[in-house]
Amino acid sequence: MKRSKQVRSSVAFLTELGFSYGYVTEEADRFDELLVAAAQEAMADSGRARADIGTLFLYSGLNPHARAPRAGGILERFRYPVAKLADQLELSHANALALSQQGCSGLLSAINLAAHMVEAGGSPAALCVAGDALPRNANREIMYNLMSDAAAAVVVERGSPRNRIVSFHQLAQPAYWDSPQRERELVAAYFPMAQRAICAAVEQAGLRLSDIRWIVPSNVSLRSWTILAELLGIPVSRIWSKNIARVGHTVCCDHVINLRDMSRKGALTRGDHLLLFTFGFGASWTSLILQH
Amino acid sequence: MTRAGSLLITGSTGMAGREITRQLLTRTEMPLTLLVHDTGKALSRARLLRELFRLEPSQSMIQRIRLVRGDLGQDHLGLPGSLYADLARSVDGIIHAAATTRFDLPLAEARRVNVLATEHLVRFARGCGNLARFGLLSTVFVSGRRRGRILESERVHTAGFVNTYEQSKYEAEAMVESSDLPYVIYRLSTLVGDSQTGFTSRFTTPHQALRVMHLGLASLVPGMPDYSVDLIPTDWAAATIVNHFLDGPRTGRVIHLVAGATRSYSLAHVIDESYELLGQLDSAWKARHYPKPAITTQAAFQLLVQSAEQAKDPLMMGVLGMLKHFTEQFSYPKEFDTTNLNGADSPPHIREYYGRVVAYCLKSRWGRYA
Ligand SMILES: NC(=O)c1ccc[n+]([C@@H]2O[C@H](COP(=O)([O-])OP(=O)(O)OC[C@H]3O[C@@H](n4cnc5c(N)ncnc54)[C@H](OP(=O)(O)O)[C@@H]3O)[C@@H](O)[C@H]2O)c1
Repeated sequence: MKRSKQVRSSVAFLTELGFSYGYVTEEADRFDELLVAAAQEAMADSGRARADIGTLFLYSGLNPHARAPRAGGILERFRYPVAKLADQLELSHANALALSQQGCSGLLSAINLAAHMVEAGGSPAALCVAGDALPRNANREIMYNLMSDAAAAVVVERGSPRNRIVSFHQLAQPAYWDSPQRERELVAAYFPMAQRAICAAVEQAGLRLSDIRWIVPSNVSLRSWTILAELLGIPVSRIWSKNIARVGHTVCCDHVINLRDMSRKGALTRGDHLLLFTFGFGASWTSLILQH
Repeated sequence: MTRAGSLLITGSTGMAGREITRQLLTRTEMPLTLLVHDTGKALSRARLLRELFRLEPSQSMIQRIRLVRGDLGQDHLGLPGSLYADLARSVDGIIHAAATTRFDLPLAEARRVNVLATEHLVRFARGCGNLARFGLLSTVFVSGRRRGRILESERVHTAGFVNTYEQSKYEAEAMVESSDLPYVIYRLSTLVGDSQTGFTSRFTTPHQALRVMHLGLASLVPGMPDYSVDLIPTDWAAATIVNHFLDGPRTGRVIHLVAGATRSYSLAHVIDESYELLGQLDSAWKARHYPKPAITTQAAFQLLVQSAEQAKDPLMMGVLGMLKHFTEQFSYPKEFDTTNLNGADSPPHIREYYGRVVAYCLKSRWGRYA
């Protein structure tokens, strides 16, 4: 990546920030396969019949309007990835909708939305798929973080026996919408807002920080998590940070990837409170508390 | 004292020196010798009065001023031998307000201005046959990393220092103390501006910290939320020094010029008030919705500083570099004894004038349109 100028900082600096690897989709078309594979794995894992899934959300954090228009005229704009995904997953009965523009907060917001929908009645489950591949040769370093391409999916079910949603808290600051113009200000705002968003979510859940078994991070730099742990007064060992080096930071798939790996590695015990936290351009600071 | 002779002021073009000189010019009839260095060295006395001391120059005021251009870092204060000897005959009081007040200098450089310059001035003072009083301006932070109650009567400690400024001022005090001069040491906390107008001639750390908040770049502040941030008005400090210097009965002592906890905001409160006032005074700023910085540990702050340095981000390095040289003090809470201030008026509570200081910073764009 350094050689192809996809990262500007030295390898030594990125390593010190906690990054070792980043994932790049070589062929744009293959990215659809990743979305399908993630969705199929989530559906299989939930054991839900296709018919139970009444809603399909496809979240993308990159701004589609920022892309250069492709050849092919205006109809290109109506070539909907979420419809393609529904078709590939044989979810033609589901209400398929694409969501966007919450940066890294998007998937957590989609999960929250899906949870409200299944709780409200109708179909007992919703499928949330998310993924982003950065444009070819794009700069993969955003605000001191190494960006990977990824796809992830979760099934949100009514009365799920696993990962019950305890609280969702989002602090939005839309005044920061102009990310390129306000990059430095966003870096400065990150920590105080993160502290507020996390503490508010914990309070809303009627818990204390010490009740949280794991902070499931977005895979932003380990340095930033060390600072945040210090700010929150919690040991850094309570942040499950193993995937920062291995996976890098994806726009919005980190939590789902981390949760799956935590589960596979036996890090989760029934009843554990888990706090998923992320910052998203837009800007929002989002916490989701689950009980495993 | 100093009715017949002349009062020598060093650093009269600095933040504290300007206000002291201004008050001496307006409140007394004393002849003053101003040793100027770089600032104002090309100015006539009339322009100096107008531009630096904000006074309408009358003929009598102009005649009371003797301007000498020198450099305290040099032998003989950088003055020709005849002038040096002439001054030694006429000067009967000295207020030494020249210093470097930068926190980020290498120790050798801080010492060159604060210690060596003081040594040269002490040598000069020893040769003044009529010297009645030698006033040294210093800082309460010669107490460095000490915590708790700090007495005026004690200086020596081994707690260490937060920056080279503190250490060099500590050493300057030691030198003056060990001289046989009729000294008084005025230890100030932090000057923040005029209590009536908010005016400040220099934008120092409290103003720069406010600027960082205004720019929306304040992220983390290391320290204790209830640390008492001791800020004092420049006019009060100058008046107290002038009154004491002219009338104070005793020499060989140290005087703390502080607001004290009962007239100060805590660190958390000063941040809250700064945001409140900036919001009231600047609606465009308010619409930007900047969060207040989080108060945190030194360890967390240092990691942030390290990241900005490693990322070679010049703006963040500038901001954090400015903060890092003094915010460490916020982890060493202190309470300053003020026994020797005895009888002097107390400074106003910060709440009574902080709004004016913030307004002045905003109006002048931190000195750009001063
Ligand atoms: N400001 C505060 O909040 C504060 C707080 C506590 C204590 N104090 C003490 O108060 C005193 C004055 O501080 P300040 O804030 O007024 O400082 P300042 O604004 O930085 O002014 C320093 C003065 O010293 C002069 N100076 C520097 N090097 C010199 C040299 N080699 N020869 C002759 N003059 C020289 C400067 O003139 P040029 O600019 O021409 O070099 C300037 O007039 C210092 O002793 C400081 O430790 C200040």
